[in-house]
Amino acid sequence: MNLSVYIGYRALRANYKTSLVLVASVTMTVAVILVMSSLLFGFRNEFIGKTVNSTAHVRITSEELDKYAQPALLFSDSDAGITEIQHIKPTQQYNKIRNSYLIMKELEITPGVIAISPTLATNVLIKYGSIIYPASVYGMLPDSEDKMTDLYSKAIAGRVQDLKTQDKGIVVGKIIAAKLGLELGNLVKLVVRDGSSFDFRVVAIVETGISSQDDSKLWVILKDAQILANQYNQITDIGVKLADYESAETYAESFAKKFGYKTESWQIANSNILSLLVIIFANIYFVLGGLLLAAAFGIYNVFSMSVIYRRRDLAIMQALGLTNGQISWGFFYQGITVGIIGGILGLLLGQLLIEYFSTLTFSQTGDNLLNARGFVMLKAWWLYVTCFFTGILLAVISASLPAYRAGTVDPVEVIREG
Amino acid sequence: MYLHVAWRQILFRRRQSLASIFSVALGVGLFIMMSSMQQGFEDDFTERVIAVTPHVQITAERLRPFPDMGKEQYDLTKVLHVQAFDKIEIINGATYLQNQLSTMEGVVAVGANYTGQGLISYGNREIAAIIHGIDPEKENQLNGFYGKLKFGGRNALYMTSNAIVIGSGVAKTFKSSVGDTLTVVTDIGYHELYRVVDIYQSGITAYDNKTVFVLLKNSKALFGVDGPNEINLKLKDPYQAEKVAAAVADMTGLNVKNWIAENANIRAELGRRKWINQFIVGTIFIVAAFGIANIMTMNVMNKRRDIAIMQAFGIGAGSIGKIYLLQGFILGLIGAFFGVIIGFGLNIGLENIPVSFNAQLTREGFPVAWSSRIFLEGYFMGLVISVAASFFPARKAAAILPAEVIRRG
Repeated sequence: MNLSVYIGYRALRANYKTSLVLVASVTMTVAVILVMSSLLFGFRNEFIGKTVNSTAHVRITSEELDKYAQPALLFSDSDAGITEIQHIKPTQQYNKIRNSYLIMKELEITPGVIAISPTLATNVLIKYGSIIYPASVYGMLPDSEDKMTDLYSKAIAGRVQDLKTQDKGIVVGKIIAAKLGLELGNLVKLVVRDGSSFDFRVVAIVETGISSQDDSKLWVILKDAQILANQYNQITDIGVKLADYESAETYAESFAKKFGYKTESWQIANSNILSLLVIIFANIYFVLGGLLLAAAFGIYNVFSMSVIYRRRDLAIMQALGLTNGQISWGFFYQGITVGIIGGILGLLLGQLLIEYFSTLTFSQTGDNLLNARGFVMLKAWWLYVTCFFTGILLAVISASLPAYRAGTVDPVEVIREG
Repeated sequence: MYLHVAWRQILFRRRQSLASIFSVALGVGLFIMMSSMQQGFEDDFTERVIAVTPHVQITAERLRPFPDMGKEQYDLTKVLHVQAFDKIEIINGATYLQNQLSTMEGVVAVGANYTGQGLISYGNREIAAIIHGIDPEKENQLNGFYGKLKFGGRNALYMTSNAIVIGSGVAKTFKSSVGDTLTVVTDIGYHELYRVVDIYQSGITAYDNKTVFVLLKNSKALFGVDGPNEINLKLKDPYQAEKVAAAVADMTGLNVKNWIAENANIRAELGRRKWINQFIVGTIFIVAAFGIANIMTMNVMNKRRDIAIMQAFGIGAGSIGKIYLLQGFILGLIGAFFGVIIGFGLNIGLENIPVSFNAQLTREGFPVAWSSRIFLEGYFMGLVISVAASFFPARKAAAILPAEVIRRG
């Protein structure tokens, strides 16, 4: 065995109680960081996963980019005295995507695009008995929509495919269905913006897992939505699914430039929630940083104390011919050993806690983002590896200054002073 | 004398003492920060919810949407083609009820509304909104309606015949402002133009995005009803809502809601966050305690001879233990003091971080609750942790046998 390793090992064993407490600090630190990271990333991944899996990665909207340029401003420079135009009344003509057929053809051959789904969205009131609820209706082609968002597999009752055969069929989000007390086969009334109403029969109830969607979305076939919105043969949105959802922003920009319509990536559509997540992450990791610092101080303290109390031993070792480096490495190995053992135990303890957290269920599905019934924990290898090395780094860095100092003990001085 | 010895020992190993003090301070500071923020979020939430939600609300809504008579009374297995009961519900005798309720103990204000759903469109944009038909004066008594109006027109709703106040989110979607004319459609097919007279901002994003107000008499035309479907109560103490709601339900036999139960899910979520924070901060305290215990144990081990000599001089084992406990106490006292200062600084920092929480609330910066209780709690936690950490070293020091130490050298 290497001499330095041997020295380190002996030193650890001699003060085994202290060593145990050191290991325990590393263990707890690693375990808590692991559990919190698993919780945070689990939530984030679940949210992003469900979002990209149930909405379009890029949505091309019917809002023309240069629509709101006012002629009065276009044809007068600012010297002319027109500084502001108030009460601009939007046109009564409903927004639509012009030339949608060619845009879709173009999208289909764009590399990186997996699926496209033309939709027409309109707001309605859904009424069942005396209960009325606001909702947005998505008119779509079931097969295209399924290719894009996997809609068929999300039915918790009935079959979404039945939209194609049922005359005036409708698919309802889970939370709306619960609020209205809807069951399969019920006849609901949809009230549209000109005050007229239409009857639809519930063919399926769908759960996407994203609260805001389950709470507001209704799906009908495109033709029915066009009747509801009084926009025959028109669409208002084209949803695009990409092979790589991370690059949605660049695609959104290029589509906007190419087609002249405002586009929206899923990141922008959920920017509120994504920025909230960043805040939560920053907050928790700040406190975890405090934990690391406290643990580092504890470990540093112990090592530097033992260097001070063992000055004489160290001087003797040097007198016996050990080099400064060998002595320093001895302390260094102590740090590494504490880090490795603490890291492994920390992973084990963390895993136990993760398992425990996963079994917890909430009586209230309170989350206004995900309607999950428990904590979603991430169990990814990189998480364990990172936490393990965090533990080792923690111990090694805290031990390095005392280790360096151990090597610089001057034997002559110690022996002279006694 | 104990104090003197303890103090000397602390000063003797200055750097180690400083590090111990620092870990206690860190724990206390972070505890104070996390607790203040947590409390801040909770207070902020409660304040805003109380501001837009009536404390207790009697609704005309049925208790259960459609009781399945067939299944319950006749032991049938399946009922086909249930026809939904389609009748607009109102509260009968609302005026009498209001008079009765206003005399109840703890009730500050009473008001009757009609709340329904409608589609509001402006040009080619439309929003499915919640339409509150209100009596502005009573609404103001209930939840400070006038204070949330942007342009502060107290009588604005009375100024024109079809006046509407829209939420700030609605105004943003429409890109419309005061003076614009919107179309309101309801499920009975009613279709009428309304003029925007003011913009309402409660600060709760979800609420401001889909709420509009009209006069109660307008809602009668909009929904074809001749009475309110809600009676709202404001209580002197909002936390009595559950009790009052039960009493009102007893008295009237109607469906009564209270804000505590209605927001139970969000409160549960807040509780979970609190629990997670305490979990992390608790670990910091434990790790800090480990650090202190370690240092003091090493001190004891290395001062075996000094301790033996002290004992030989006639200082009892109990006194030796007390010296070490006192050391922990002093470290805790100083550490917790600095912790309070750190917590103070962190709180100020948090308040000034420019972040926005528009997903839920319209606000800038973290809400921070400045509560002396939290600071005291943090201080005592730090103190207790360091004293507890010095317990084992103290016992060890007291157990040293002078004869043995002296014999072995």
